[in-house]
Amino acid sequence: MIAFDYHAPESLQEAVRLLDQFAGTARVVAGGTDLMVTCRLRGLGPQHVISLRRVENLDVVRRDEATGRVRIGAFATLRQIERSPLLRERCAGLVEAAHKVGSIPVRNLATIGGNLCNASPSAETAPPLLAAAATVTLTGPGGQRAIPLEQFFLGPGKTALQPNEVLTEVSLLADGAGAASMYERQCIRRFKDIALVGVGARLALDGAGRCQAVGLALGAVAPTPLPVPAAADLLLGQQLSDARIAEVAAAARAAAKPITDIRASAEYRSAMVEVLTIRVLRALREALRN
Amino acid sequence: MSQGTSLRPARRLARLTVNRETQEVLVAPSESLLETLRDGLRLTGTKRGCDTGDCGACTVLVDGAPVVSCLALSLNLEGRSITTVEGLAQNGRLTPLQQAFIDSGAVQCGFCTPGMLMSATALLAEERSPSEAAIRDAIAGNLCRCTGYIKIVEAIQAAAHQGAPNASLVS
Repeated sequence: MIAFDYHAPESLQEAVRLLDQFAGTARVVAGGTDLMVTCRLRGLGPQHVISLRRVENLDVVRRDEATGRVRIGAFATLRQIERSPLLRERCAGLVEAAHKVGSIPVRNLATIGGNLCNASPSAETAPPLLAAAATVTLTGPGGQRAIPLEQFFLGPGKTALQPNEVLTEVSLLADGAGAASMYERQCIRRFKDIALVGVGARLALDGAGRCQAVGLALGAVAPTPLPVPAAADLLLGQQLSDARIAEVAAAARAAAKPITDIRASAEYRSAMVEVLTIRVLRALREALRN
Repeated sequence: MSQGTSLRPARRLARLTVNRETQEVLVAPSESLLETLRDGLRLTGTKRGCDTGDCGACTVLVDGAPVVSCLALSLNLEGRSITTVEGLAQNGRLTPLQQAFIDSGAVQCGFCTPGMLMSATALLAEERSPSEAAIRDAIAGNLCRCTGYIKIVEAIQAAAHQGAPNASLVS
């Protein structure tokens, strides 16, 4: 176990100042579920840990009335997300993904910001967020910047976050008014498993049942969670026929770049991308009919 | 992340409320709640299994919500209310849930029992008669390698029929 020092500043500004001062030897801790495991199993860890537990309102979940998007404070726990009435109504894909992480006693600690900053290729919350055109707000010494989530992930464990920045908010498109979202994954156990493959999708239909906006993203089949816009765009302006869905699924499979590892082979993962994409799109079609 | 150094940052006093009693505890900055409970406060009812958040044997309640204490930083919990298995029985009287575990034969080796009790206590405080699916979801984070879970689920169902145990633990 690595011994780090602990700081709990009173404000976000002070947290950023400490990160700046410790120049790359500090990490922000939220729930600590990834940090503590890394410290124990790999003997790796920061020299300084910055907790934002004293800073208020970093876990607020709300609908932005001006844009219709949903905004989630990065320090909201996954348990808070899966139980939020607003998110259950407006972000079904994200709620499903949050529910699938670990177990309740883990989700009561783990946060959405932590899940994204850990940047695992299989991060459950990433595919539904990417499918819902999510952006992330990064707060640093010069203020805030918002970037599309797909630009945030750079590789396994690597993000666009600078050493003196904190991920403070996630924003995504909402369900409702002809739009719906979903997340499905393949794994071996019923509970407490990591996705072998995950598929997140969001569809918005016009009055005639044609696809107006489509988001599709994959987990655990590339070095980062992977948006597949070329596959998603095949649906634009189209009806959701079985034949069209099959085409999209084949295109998603072609875009995936899975590896073989201890959990599954590349071939199996590729095949499952196609199966899950079909399953998710058909289920969304069903959901939007009702 | 950088390679850790051999430096050992100084311990500090943390104000923790454990089983309704607020106390000052000397805590290392990187110490887990599990270490503080077992090694600092000698509350060894909470078990150390995997120490990586997978087995749930270390589950305790923080402000009524179950958490894996092996992954929680003690200093992050200053001012919060922590309940361990030692805090369930009052004046030597077991809760209906604890009694149901005994009566239903839900305990074999017993190592998972404290964590199971904490997860189930939180569930029953929120849902008076949970479905079997809700029970299984609530204890999905608590691994038992003896019982096959059936007796445990039955015990939780039996306790549910007797009314919510210790609702006061959950804020």
